[in-house]
Amino acid sequence: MTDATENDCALPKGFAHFKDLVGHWAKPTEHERRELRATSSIDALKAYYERVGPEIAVITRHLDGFPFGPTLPSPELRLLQIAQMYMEVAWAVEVLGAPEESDQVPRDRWRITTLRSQTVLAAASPDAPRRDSNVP
Amino acid sequence: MSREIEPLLDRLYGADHPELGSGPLSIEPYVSPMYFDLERRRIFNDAWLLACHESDIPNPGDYVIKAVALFRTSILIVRGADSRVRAFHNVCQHRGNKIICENGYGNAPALFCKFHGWTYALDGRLRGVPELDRFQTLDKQQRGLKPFSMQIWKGFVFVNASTTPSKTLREYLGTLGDALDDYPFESMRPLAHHSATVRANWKVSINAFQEAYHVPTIHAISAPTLFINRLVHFRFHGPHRAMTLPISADFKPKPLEILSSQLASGMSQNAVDPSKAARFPGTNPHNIANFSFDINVVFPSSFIDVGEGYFFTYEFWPIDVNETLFIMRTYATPAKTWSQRLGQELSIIFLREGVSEDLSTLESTQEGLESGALESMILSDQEIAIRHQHHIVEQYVHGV
Repeated sequence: MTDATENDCALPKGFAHFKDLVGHWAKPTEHERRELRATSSIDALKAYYERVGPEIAVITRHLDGFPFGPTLPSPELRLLQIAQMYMEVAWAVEVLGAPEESDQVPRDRWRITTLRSQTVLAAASPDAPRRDSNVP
Repeated sequence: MSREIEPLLDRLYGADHPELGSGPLSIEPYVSPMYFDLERRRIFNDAWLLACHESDIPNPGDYVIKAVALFRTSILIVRGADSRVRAFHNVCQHRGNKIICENGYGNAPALFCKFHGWTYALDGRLRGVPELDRFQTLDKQQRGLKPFSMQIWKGFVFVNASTTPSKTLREYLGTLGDALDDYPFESMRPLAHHSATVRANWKVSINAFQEAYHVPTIHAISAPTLFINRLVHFRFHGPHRAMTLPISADFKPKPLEILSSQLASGMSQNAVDPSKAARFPGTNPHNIANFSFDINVVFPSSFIDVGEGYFFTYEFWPIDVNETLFIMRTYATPAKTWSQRLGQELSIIFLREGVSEDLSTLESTQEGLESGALESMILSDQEIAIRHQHHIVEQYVHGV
């Protein structure tokens, strides 16, 4: 499914047990989250819902320790995306009872434009090696 | 003290508006190509149409491209280096190529035509022409981008196909503008943007969004208990109109809605915990107890719906008699924390999914109207906004 490396899946301390979710479920855009929800089985959605739901309060508490803005450190960004995906999944599990509602405009015709203001990027890690840096 | 809702729900609003009549409506305006052509000439050629909000293009060089099939043109709305927003025909003044070919948002330090490399400043002035000395009569001062009529009210960018609009935007908005003048639009920021092209007349499309009679059927899945199936306090402002949608006293929130209400404000979040929603000026003018949001329709085809802590707009762009481009933009008080941002996720999902339900009937309705099986439309008192829209369109088209 994914060729993510160990580092690509890193989550903040205390959330390592969600590591296996990152490659498949942590999506950066509303469009990708809707597509994943609609094309997943309801059983897979329920399993995700039951796994992540009980920890949403802990996740939001952790994220609120970081200043709100256009960037988050990569591990926190993955955690945010897991929580955002939870909201999308909860809609399917609690409201629709299915991955998708049939009496709607087809998804490919109901277009989502990704807004720059809603795009959260990974902040440069202070620990990452900087090839161009002369700072000791 | 808030007003109780029950007497409002029982009221028949048509009694206050005998001028709108009570009989069935003709189908012709929804299916006739000739009628559509009259609408284009007599309504849309001098109407203020919502194109975006200034907050959609906050930085110098930010632009939005609007392809407007009805006017056979493409409009470029761009924020200049001086932070002013301007609108131009998206047409190079050399040989007519589009400057920017892709619709939607973008950012550019200058406007560059790919055909021969003519370059325009963000304020529309022609700056660069390759091999300028080969042109014998080119006056760069005279070859800036051609402005498109545009005016701004409360940050909303409206365009008008007329080069000399008969009214200023604010005159055109009239008392609907008065009613919304105090709403803090400028304090909110874009949250989401959705769009679809539907094979349906623009009025068929609009009509699905100005009645709540359909709530128990169309929204049986997304909002089975959130809204009442009636609108209250229909307010007619010349050609424009406004109405209020109440929350149902029987609302049974799902865990997702409860979670989101603990994190942020929003349509269903406020319904879970009305005490959290600060009263926003410019909303709920009749101070009903179970307020959800106000529908505000700017004639002919723009909506600015306002709630407490959020608003959303609809643009209906006629393409042909039976084809319409629909754009929904959602705005909200900016999140200050990550948990608030997560709580707003429900606002994005709820509107996206609920409006998709609204859109789902449009094409089958259009097909039914075009089949010839229906001689007229019969409307309930709760569909009086549709009657008002029909009446105003007839006035413009036939001058009656």
